[in-house]
Amino acid sequence: MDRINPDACLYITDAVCPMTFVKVKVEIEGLRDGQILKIKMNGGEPVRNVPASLKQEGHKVIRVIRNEDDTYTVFVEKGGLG
Amino acid sequence: MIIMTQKQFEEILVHSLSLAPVEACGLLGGVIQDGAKVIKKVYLLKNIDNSPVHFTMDAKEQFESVKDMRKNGYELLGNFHSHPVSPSRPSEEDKNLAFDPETSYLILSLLNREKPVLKSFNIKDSIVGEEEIILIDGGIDMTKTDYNELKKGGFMRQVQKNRFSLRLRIAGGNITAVQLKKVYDIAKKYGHGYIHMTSRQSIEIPFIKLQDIEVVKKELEKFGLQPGACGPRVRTITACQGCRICTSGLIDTTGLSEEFDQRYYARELPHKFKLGITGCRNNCLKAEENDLGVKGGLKPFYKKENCTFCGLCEAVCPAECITVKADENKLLFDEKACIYCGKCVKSCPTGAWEGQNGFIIYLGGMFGNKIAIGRQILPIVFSAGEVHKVVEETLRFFKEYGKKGERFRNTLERVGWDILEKRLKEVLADG
Ligand code: SF4
Ligand code: SF4
Ligand code: SF4
Repeated sequence: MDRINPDACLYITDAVCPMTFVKVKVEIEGLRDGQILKIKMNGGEPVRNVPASLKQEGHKVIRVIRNEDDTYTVFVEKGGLG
Repeated sequence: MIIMTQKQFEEILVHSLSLAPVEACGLLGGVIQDGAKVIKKVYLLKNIDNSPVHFTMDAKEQFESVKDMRKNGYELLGNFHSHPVSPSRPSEEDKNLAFDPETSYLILSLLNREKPVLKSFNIKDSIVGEEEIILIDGGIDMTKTDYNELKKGGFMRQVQKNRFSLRLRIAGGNITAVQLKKVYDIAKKYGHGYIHMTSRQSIEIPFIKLQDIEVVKKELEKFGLQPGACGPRVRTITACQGCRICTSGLIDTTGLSEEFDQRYYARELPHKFKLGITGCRNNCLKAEENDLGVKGGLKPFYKKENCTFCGLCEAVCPAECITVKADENKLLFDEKACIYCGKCVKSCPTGAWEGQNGFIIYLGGMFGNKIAIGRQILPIVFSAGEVHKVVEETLRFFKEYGKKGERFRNTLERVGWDILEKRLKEVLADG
């Protein structure tokens, strides 16, 4: 699979619900449609909820990578589902 | 001798209590069998005197009643009136007005409201003779109240003498605002001004007096409320809000709880039987605690042509039954391990997972003296019709095999899970 070049990066591994998604929302607002945000988040609740919320807002998850330390790196395309 | 039912007695009692301090009156129609007067119908009439010390029956109503008796083949066997504040014995006026020695004169005394007394008299030339009253299905002496009957009818005996906590019949934890207001009124008027929320989504109104029970029942009835069931039968049907309200909901728990309530509520069984419905895997209503619990589920179907192999479903799946191999454009799904939570369907960005909503059924849970977690022995089913088949068959099984006083789980352990499993699979296969 091709390497994905993100337009912005965000770490939310130190945030808890509901701040996780709030941070993502703020970050994604600064992007244009089609641009890609790379988000590093914890397993469990964040990875179960944040991508589902992104879907509701019309952004498309294009890649999820599970890291060694049980965190996840999620690539999202702004407005990718619109 | 007069033979009447407990219900007829209660009719007279309620009518009299509701009119007190005015005297209440009415007629008794029935048949004579082996020399005994068997009451078939009680006619509650207006006391046109509207007085606490004497009564005159409304002539028109009297005529209508006798007409009705004739129509039904009954005879006029007697009459009754109440003595709101004096004993059950004919007054001088009663004696003077008695003209028919064959007629029974029943007098209900409310002198001691805790203990109403109903007696019957024959009066001939002002000489009074008492006549025995036999109550069938219940005793007239209120001290001999059948507590099991009351319990069955939702009135729970309290520590305090002659006080009952009235349990209401509620399905799925929902009650209308108008009904709730009625509950408020009753708690204020007949109880101690508070209610108790039970552990299983019902409401109890404590401190109802024994003699108010019938009046309270009548008042509730006007608002579509009924006393709830207790004892060895199907109990309150509990449910979370499900898909009508909750964003996670996968099934209509409210609708199903109403159907359960109508079909199974208060059904007689060897022991209590609890039915509960929860809308999804989050299990807010704890399906496995119930003798029969239902949980909403979503069975996922994978459509490869839509998949971009992003890997998200693997990350969200709590059962770890999805493996995405992005490099090989491959997705592996271990369907046997799937717990039907629907998270893959909900999160997949491209619609490569589709789902069918269904019902997961758990059997044999109990959380009382002994604790056991309900087990899933059937595959997920997809229609409410199938759920009903399973419930019906399960109740039939319990009725057939359960010993009196034995919880369903214990019956299962004793008789064998496989027997129920086989029977359930058969009714489901029947189509
Ligand atoms: S069990 Fe599921 S549907 Fe029911 S209230 Fe909880 S989250 Fe909502
Ligand atoms: S989330 Fe959807 S698109 Fe992504 S790997 Fe799973 S099925 Fe494929
Ligand atoms: S329904 Fe739940 S358990 Fe089943 S595959 Fe999807 S995420 Fe996994």
